[in-house]
Amino acid sequence: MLLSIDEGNRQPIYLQIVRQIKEQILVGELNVGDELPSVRELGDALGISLHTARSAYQVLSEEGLLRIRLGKKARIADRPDSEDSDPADEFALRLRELVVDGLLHGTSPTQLHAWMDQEIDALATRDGRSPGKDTS
Amino acid sequence: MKRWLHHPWWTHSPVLLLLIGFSAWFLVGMDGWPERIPLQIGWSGEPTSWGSPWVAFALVLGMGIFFLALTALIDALWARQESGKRFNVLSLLDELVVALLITIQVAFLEAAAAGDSVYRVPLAWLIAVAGGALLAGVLVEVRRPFSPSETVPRQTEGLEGFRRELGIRIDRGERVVFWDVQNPKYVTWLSIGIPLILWVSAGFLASSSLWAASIEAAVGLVLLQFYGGQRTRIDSEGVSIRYGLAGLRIFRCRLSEITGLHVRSFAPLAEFGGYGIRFGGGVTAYFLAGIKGVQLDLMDRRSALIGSNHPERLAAVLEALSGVQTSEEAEFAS
Repeated sequence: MLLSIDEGNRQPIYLQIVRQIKEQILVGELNVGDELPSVRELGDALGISLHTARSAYQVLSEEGLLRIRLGKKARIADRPDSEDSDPADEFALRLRELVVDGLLHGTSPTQLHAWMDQEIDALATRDGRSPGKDTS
Repeated sequence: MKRWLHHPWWTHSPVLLLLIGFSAWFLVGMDGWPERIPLQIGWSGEPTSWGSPWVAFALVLGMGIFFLALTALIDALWARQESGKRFNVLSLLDELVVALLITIQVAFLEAAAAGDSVYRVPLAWLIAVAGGALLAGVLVEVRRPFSPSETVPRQTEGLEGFRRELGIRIDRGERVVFWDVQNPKYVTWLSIGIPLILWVSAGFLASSSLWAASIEAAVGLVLLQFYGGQRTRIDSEGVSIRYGLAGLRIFRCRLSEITGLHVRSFAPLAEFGGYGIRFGGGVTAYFLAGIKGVQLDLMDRRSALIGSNHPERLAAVLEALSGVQTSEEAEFAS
């Protein structure tokens, strides 16, 4: 597992970790059952507090991406089957938040489209396959 | 479908013949066995515990089957890891152990049937039977054909993307850390199961031999330390390998000490005699699973082989952080 902290990034550190782990799951660098370092080891290696490291794991666990059991190392969980809500609704909401923020800060819709394409392409080439396979 | 037994079954025929022969001999002569025979003999040659001949028979047969299964497992692993035919000296384990067990048991049963009170180990018979079994074992091992395994392709898919991502982060001045974990299930079972057996046994043994019980308990504690497997960490400070429950650091080197990097395959049994922390061919190896890893050549002429399930990525991180180029896969001692 590869992690790094960008101190110049305004995104909270625990969310940077969450994002990087999610990306690695998406592109197949982390697979179901893979073991993650302990909270203590994560904190020690990245020079962050245990609270920050624990928060990152907590978020991933709540999203069903990480399996945390008492006395055992955290492992990548099976992809969750969302029963309570349609994940598409949640993604659409999050995307809308991003779009609103972008437009509020003066980014043009064309630029937003370009960024989205760029991110999808970057993940696709990192993986060697297409993570955003079009199912429509 | 993956074959479990990667070697021909007939390589175990000497042991199978020994076990069948012993069983037949025991059953044919069962009318002549006394009701109680010695099950354990002290150093003086006098029995220290007695029991039914059937118990002795079951013990020898059970231990024989256990060693047969253990050797079959070792032989299967050996054959699967071979890149060319190599004489498997470990394949002689079952021949040796079963021949010794059976010869001693036959001698003691005959002594019991003759009414002897002192039991001596039949050295001449031991040498003859064990020697014959070993010779048969050598012959079948020599005759064993080489059976090539399916080659494990290098995991290069997505590697370029991984390198690019890594480069971007390093260029941005981010603190990059890479972890690689080897924690197969057998390590969990061994590091929990064997200590439990040893501690229970130490509990029973404590009243009769405190020092033996202490050794058992201590060995159990040492084995427990393997729980959690092997964790390799690479960051700007260097490479470190930690083991087990307490996270004992058993290897560490600075990036500046690395002079060479190779992604390589190896045969754990043939080259290093097993898994764990091993030495062989001037290399200190650290691996708990698989047949692939990254070998680091260090400034003081030491070499360390780090077992990994993702050696290509591990090497890419080392290459990016240390500036040392990964060389083509090296072929090592056969």
